Amino acid sequence: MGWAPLVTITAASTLVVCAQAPQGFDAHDLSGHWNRTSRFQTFSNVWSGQGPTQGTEEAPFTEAGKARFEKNKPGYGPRAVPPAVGNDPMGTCDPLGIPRLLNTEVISPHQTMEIVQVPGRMIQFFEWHHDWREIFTDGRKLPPGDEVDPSWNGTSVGRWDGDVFVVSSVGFDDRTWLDKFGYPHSENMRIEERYRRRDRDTLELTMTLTDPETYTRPWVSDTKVFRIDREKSQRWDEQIYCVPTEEYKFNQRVRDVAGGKDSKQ
Amino acid sequence: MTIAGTVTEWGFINPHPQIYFDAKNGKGEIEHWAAELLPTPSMMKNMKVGWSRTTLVPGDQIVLVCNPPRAAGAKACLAKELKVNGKAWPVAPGGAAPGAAKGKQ
Repeated sequence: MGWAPLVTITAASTLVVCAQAPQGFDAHDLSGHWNRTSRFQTFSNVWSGQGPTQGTEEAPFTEAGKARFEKNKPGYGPRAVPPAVGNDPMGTCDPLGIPRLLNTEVISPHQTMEIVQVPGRMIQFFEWHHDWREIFTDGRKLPPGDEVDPSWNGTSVGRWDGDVFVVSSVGFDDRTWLDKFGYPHSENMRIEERYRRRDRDTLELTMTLTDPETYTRPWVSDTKVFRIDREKSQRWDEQIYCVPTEEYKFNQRVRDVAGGKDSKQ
Repeated sequence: MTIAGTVTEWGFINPHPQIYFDAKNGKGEIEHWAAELLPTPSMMKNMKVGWSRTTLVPGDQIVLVCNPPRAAGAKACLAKELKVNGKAWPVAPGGAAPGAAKGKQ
């Protein structure tokens, strides 16, 4: 917890340091607009072309997971291809899903994630693609993964473990990727997210992904760091939808052309 | 690479603003080009320098400094610097575009 001196000047102009008061924040209040400031846009520190390969590590793929990875053709990173020959769900404005929304698409200063806490639920609003996700906090138990229909953002419950907000999720649609670099997952993926408000302005998130079909062991993310954006809550809603007609036009007229896949040729 | 041309269309839309323009090649022939600006429209509006749907209109004369396209000879690029009718416009958040030195306008 941070502390700030309280300084007052008396009528006689004598400087008096009264006390130290905490810069107020409630560790159990995660509400606000948050921008991710940590470097990686991937689930973990796999190489994405964002920097040197030193210190990065390959994902712990199973054989089937590696095969699915090879079938995914992203528009970004070292395996980037033009949209005309790619299959990034974003290219058709398909839902991006959890954890991609958290990993890749929360970028300062406009693609914020807003957390709203209401009785029984915590809601995350993602500006990019104008999506949201509910985390139930009313004490209900997480259903077994094979009892829920797969959905884009999964089925999630949350609870407090001390000052850490723990979110457990199952039931993910396997058409989404973990990030914009094509890392796959199966419908049986389980994710545990651990959020901690480190101080008044900083939120940390670490995720553990368990998906034996795709990865040989539980895979732990890097620590995602988010900084609060108080100005964002004062701006008009930016409504950054992914509009299929606009995305298609952009891909066809710019990205494909730049990549040598001009559909008009 | 630096390209000069005449605007034919301006799209201040997601995911990235786009400029379509005509430019003459070394033989004097007209070529149709597309350029992408990296920030989203929201990011550009937040620069508070006047970016809007009407910042460019057909017929505007532009000079672009671009990253070379991924495919050699392609007529589409990512713009790093932009001048419109002789005036430099920042195309990166946080101020001037990379390399757009003061006094260039």
